[in-house]
Amino acid sequence: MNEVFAIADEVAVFRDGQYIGLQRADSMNSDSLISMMVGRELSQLFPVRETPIGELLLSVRDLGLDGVFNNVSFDLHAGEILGIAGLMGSGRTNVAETIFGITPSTRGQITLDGKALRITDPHMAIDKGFALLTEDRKLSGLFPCLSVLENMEMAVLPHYSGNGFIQQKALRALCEDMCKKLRVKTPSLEQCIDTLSGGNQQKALLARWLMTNPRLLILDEPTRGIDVGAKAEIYRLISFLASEGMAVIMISSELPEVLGMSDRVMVMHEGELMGTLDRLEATQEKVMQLASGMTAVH
Amino acid sequence: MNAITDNKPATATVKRRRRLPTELSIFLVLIGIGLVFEVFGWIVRDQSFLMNSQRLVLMILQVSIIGLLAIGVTQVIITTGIDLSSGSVLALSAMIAASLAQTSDFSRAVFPSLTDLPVWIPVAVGLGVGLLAGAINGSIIAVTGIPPFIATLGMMVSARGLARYYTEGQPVSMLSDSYTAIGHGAMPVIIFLVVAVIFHIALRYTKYGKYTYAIGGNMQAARTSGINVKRHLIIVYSIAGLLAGLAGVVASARAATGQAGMGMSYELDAIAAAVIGGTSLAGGVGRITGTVIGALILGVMASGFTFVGVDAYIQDIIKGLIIVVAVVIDQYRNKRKLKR
Repeated sequence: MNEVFAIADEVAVFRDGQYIGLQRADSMNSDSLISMMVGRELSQLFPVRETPIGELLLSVRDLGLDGVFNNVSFDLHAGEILGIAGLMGSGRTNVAETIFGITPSTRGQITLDGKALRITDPHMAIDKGFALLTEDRKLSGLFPCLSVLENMEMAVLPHYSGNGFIQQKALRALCEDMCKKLRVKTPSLEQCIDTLSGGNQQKALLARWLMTNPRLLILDEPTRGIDVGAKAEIYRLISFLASEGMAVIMISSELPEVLGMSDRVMVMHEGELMGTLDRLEATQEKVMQLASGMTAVH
Repeated sequence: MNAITDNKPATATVKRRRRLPTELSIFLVLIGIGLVFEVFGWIVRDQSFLMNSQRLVLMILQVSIIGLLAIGVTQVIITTGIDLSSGSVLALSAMIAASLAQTSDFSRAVFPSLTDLPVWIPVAVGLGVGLLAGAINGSIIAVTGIPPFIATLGMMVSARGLARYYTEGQPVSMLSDSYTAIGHGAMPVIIFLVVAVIFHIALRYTKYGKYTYAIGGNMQAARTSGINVKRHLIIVYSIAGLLAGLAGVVASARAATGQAGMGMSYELDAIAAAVIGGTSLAGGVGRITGTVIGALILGVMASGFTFVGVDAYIQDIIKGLIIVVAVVIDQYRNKRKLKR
């Protein structure tokens, strides 16, 4: 985005195959450009939620992974969105991967519904109702040679293959329904997934996890590499899911996104939890101060 | 910058011209090779290559043994692995199964007290030996994480050694009629086709199949999606071993003897059949139908070269060339996929 302002004299905007308009770059700012691209005012990009936060779901105490992060503690309630901010390498992704069992923790404990848990593999986490949309789609999300359908159904297969055979019709119906709800644009479910745009790939992966009906949805950079329109859709979807009672952990490098979406923001720096800020007290400056390790609030 | 590049409408991809399915194109290759030999047959020997049922039956019988191995190795290659041990495991299973299938009127049986056993015992033991060898391959690969190439290379050498050590190199013969019946007539072909259908269905319509493709497509994503990757790899290698064991039973029944040198370099033919049939060494891609056609191509070529009188050594040279070409085509396909 910033490159556009740095390089271009005039900016032409297209949306959904339509020509929206042409303006001089110096007559507009990024807010007005985004609202042209999305078709809505920027203030509507992050939906307002006013749902009362539900019961305590997940309690994490002194979680640690040797040599990577230490002493991470937080509580998460149903219907709450917890943001995790921090610079690259601050251990944000590792916390998510540890909760999900990709890299089992070496210290601390996780309590779900008041019961202590030890998760050492993702399939255990999925059984408990966890879902993790990973940071790098290509590296750990997509099955590049498989169809959209196969990509979407992978996490729910155990529930749709009682005798080993897959219940094709039921699964297809579920996937079609999900595609409609999430507005995944694909010519057909048989389409190879790597022919879709980044935003549609991301929505298909999100669909993979939503089909498991998770209680806890962990999103690691959910809007990385996708266009503003798809971003807005994902924001609305996350808000909707939280208002339905899903607990959400959202990791992001984009401060406006974390601040706009989260009820609370946890800030990490070099493997340490620097502090947790409430929605009202969280500002870009405060988050950046914590993220750069200049001050710590406990 | 992503904001702009990402906004292309999805419809742009629909209009791309659809290519022929891989199976159809290699089937056409098979037909083409058959026709070439037909023409050469009339030129060189003044007789038909294809219109000779005896030759075709012999060819399909030979394809059946390699085909059983190829069905197993196809699944292994789909998971981005490789199985170099199938030929040796075939020999080991053949030896052990044959040693339990001997008749009592043979004075030098391997186990004089274990003769005239019901046929299911040598068959079950033969399959069991293969299954065990495969399970060892899979466990070593899954637990230690060493490359499948090395693990199965070790098994290839050890299983061959064990097959020789078992009777100190002596062939095991005088097998019971009920055992050799497994290799009689069209039985090997029937077994091969039944196994092919079973695994064709398993790969396409079961959780086992989807997980196999998923692991080959992206192992890390497979684990994140809740697939127990290690357990699944052990299952896939065990199945490949089981099929090698089955091939050992069928081969020893057909030859009415177990010999430690059986199945020598069959593993390479099996891999070649899979690769020629469109299974990608990069993983995630491959079908049993393709592998069956790939095995038939190898069979037609071996039979055809012999028919037109090409020297056996030169046949090997050409076979090697074809395998390399098949892999080059596979690479080319992969590169195109990445460019898109």
